[in-house]
Amino acid sequence: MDDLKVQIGSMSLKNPIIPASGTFGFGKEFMDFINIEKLGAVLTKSITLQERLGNPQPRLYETSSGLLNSIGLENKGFEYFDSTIYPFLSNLNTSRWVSIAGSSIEEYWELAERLELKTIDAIEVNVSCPNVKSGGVQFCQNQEMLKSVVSGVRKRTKKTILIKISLETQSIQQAAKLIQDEGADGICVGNTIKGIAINIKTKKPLFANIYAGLSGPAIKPIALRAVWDVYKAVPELPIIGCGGISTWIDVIEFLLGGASAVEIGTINLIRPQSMIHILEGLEAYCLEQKTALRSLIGLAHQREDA
Amino acid sequence: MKMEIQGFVEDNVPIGKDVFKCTLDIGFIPGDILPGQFIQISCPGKNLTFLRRPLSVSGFIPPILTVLYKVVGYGTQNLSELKKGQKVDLILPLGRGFSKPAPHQEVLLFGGGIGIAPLLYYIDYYHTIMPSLTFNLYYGVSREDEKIEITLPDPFPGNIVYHIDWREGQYNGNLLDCFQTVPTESFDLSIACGPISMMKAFSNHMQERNLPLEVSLESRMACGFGVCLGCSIQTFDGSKTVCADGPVFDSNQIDWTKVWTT
Repeated sequence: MDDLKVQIGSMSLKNPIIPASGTFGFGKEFMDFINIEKLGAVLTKSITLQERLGNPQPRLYETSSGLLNSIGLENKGFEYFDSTIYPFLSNLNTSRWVSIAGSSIEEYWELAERLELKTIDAIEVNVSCPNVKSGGVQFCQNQEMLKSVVSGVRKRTKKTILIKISLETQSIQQAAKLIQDEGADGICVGNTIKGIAINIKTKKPLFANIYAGLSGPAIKPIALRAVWDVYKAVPELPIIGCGGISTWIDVIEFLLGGASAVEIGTINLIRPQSMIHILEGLEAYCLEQKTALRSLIGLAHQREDA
Repeated sequence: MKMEIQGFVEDNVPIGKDVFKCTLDIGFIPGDILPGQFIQISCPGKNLTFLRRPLSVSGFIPPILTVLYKVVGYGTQNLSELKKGQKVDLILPLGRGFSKPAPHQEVLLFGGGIGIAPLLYYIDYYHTIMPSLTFNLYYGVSREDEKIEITLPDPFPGNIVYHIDWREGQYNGNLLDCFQTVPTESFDLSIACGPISMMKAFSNHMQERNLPLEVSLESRMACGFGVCLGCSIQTFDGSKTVCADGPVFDSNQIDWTKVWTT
């Protein structure tokens, strides 16, 4: 259906529905539930250069409308991705995106360099990770670090690059401008929000790292606010909204607020068919409203400006 | 093949202290559900819950699926209040079950507390398709009031040992203590499900005697199908998910020093 098509830089997507990294495995895990080639793009779990074992248990804590997680980017590393996942991913008949994460600036650069040779369509650069050399400051929280990651990745690849920032990025509008200036093709807003849980039996923090990331419907209005603010700062830069989006109505809200596409995350874990249900809802909406999704992008801002 | 379906409560009754047996009409699904596999069930009710709850299958005769659960928190409390006819959302069948026994084998089963649930399905399922099997069931609870009403084939194709650790304030040893002196040579395979401490102890015991043991682990889970990695454990064969690589593992594979328990 043409009405669902959206554009991210030079990349055309059949629809704006993309699974959020970390909630979709490498795609294979969903094939019993849905036809993953119906999605606007397939986006992998974040990969790092070397294998990461991730954080100790416990890793999960349920809230009444969300999920706190402390997974710690567990993944088997680039070589495993290359030998086991890539052959499958590269043959998919939809846009193929790989998420990369690093614990140093150079790790991002090297991953970008290695992926430049691959048959994939986009690299999502997860800059919400802590920089080990800088005492664990998230890359997106320091403009200099952010600049070096984005410009270095840009230099090493001609592929579409999308920078995924935290919803808690300080001076988020400045960060968005920097990301645009350094040549990124889009910005993904955002990632989980820090929270904590306390074990009432031990009377200690539940998670070994104390902080964990909150996702799910609880954070949707916060993510939408961040998309709104980023759109105001960089209306020309494609935005991918992410945070608690669970229904087609949520998607329309994000498009109206300025997103060109969205990532669906935590709801995939509970309702693995939800992205397909969302697509059906969007299709029905376009037919009923006689509109194309791309014409909705940022529309809510016009009203405010008028 | 894993699927997202709906089920309707047929019956949901207490069978012990805080333990319930729930039967669900899930319709006729393609494919089978194997002993050791589990389901993810939504928990509608007065408590606001977001995730599903993973429950072992303890019986399946199409279209009726049986689960046993202990009320331990918000989700299971909601489940305990479900009434006949109420709808629940399910993802099933999930995980890797127990290895299939061969005809005429002698199987040893250790169940601790609510960990008996998947063993009941194992006995029922394999006894039906392989009547030549012999089952030696060791079932233990820590206190008298934790004993639950269980249904087993009658006559039972083998032996059953019930054990209660504490009786009238007196400690009588645990399930392993009453198994210590049993010669293990005649057993072909063994499976266990229960508290981590119990499975760890049995694992050592069987390892010393060079007998294979498969254990079914439990874990908090978000997805249940290998995506979120919320239930990862470290094994001697690398990182594994309880939900997709397990919940049944060869006990020699498990690094018990790293298994987390609530």
